[in-house]
Amino acid sequence: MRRRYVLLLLLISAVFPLSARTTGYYHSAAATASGYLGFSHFEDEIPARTSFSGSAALGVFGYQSQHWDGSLELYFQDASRSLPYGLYRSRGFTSIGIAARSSYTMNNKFSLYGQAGTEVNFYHQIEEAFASFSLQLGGQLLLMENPSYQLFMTLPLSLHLRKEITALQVGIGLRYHLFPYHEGGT
Amino acid sequence: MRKLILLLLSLILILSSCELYMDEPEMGDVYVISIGIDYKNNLDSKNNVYKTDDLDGTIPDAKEIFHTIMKISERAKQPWKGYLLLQEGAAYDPVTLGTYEGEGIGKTNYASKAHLLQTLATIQNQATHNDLTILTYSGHGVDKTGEMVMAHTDADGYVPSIEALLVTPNELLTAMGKIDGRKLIILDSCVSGVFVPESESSLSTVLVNGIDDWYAKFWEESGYNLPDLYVLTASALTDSYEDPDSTDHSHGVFTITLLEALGWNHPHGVDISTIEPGTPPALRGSVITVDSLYTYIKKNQDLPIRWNILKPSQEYQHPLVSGGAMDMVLFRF
Repeated sequence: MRRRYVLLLLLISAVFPLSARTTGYYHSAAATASGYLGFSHFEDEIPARTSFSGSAALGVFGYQSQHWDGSLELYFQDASRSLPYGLYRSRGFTSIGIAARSSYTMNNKFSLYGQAGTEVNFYHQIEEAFASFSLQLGGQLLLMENPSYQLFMTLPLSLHLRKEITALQVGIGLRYHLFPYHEGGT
Repeated sequence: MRKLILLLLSLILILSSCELYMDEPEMGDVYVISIGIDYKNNLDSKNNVYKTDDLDGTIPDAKEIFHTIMKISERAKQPWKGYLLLQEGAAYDPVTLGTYEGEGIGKTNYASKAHLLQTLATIQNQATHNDLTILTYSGHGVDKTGEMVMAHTDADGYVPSIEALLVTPNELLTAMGKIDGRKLIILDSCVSGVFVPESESSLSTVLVNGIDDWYAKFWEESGYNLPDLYVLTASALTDSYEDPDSTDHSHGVFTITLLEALGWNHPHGVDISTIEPGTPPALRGSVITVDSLYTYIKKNQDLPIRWNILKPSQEYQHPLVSGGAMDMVLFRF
């Protein structure tokens, strides 16, 4: 059993050898799992309804300097219907949106980031759609990197601004940067 | 690491606190109005009169929906009151046209517009906040405009004008809106989608496909309130159809699938009062909701929901349901 862990660690170390900070153009991919707490603007049976969501993002274009980083992202989110309670349940939906994202590197391991976006959302069980906006703030911890790749753990706090609901999302995720031109690093 | 785990556990607790710690509201009584009209007492041998086509599936639709909802209500331990409004067969004598015996099993009520409004007014005086009122209609919908066509009350059997028989979306939604508690209108008729009110926060992708409209809706000033009136219809803005496979025991394509969703096993030539519905396939966890019925019907109805380029001549009908952020619970077991 222990040997299996050692092999896994060796494999990860081979793929992501630790090195200094990478800079330059990059593409990115991210995945996040979140709790989705919807505070209704209307008089509901309870103050907030709980759902769960998963999201994935693809950064088509990003640039990272020594301290600052910016990227344009296309993202998808799926939010479940709310937990059963009372005479109503909030409907689940799938979103597709675009966002601008920027981060600031605090030290070799940790960055703060912010993201603003807009999305269209489609309810799961009925054919209805709505538009919304979203804001996200979070921290990201550099787990591994080499001159071509970076892997972060992210802790996002998001606001989903819908017409009738403002939702607070807290989650945890992974974010992967690919630097195709291998700039910088040592 | 320990701090991180504690933080995550705390977050999960906070995020799921409302549903876990608050007492659930109780389900109230169930009121049902089932309307079925076959239009067979509408004569057509006189000039300048309105003649509607006969319908074969509407009477079984109304009777079986009435019976099934009664059984489901009993199973959910929700007290039930039902009004069956029928126009069945060729009779148009004054006694038939005026029959109104009110609520209950075996009570006869002629399906005129006046009797419908009388029934709605009666329920309005009785229903309370946690009650559920379900109205089902199986009959004609006017081409393009979709109004319900109630049974005529002309004692000579000829209908000089259809106008007096029509129930418009505004009339029905207003009358139902006056009833306290949750309401569901289920319509199996042509162009019935006109009865589905536009949501204050979302738009139907069956009827409106523009992304600019979705953003315009976001910025509209209209407020969103927890909806207590939902509409579920057989079709959007097209015709609805009767089951082509049935002969002696016909149904609407929409209603037969709705009955299946509620666990009705659709017997032929059997006294339906002796039949118990099975476990409703539309049951999700411990509840039946508007969306669970809608989803079942869309997946299981005999006709496709969209026009198909490979079968251009095939009929299709797309059910429609009220939009917005919330789904409404009908029965909890």
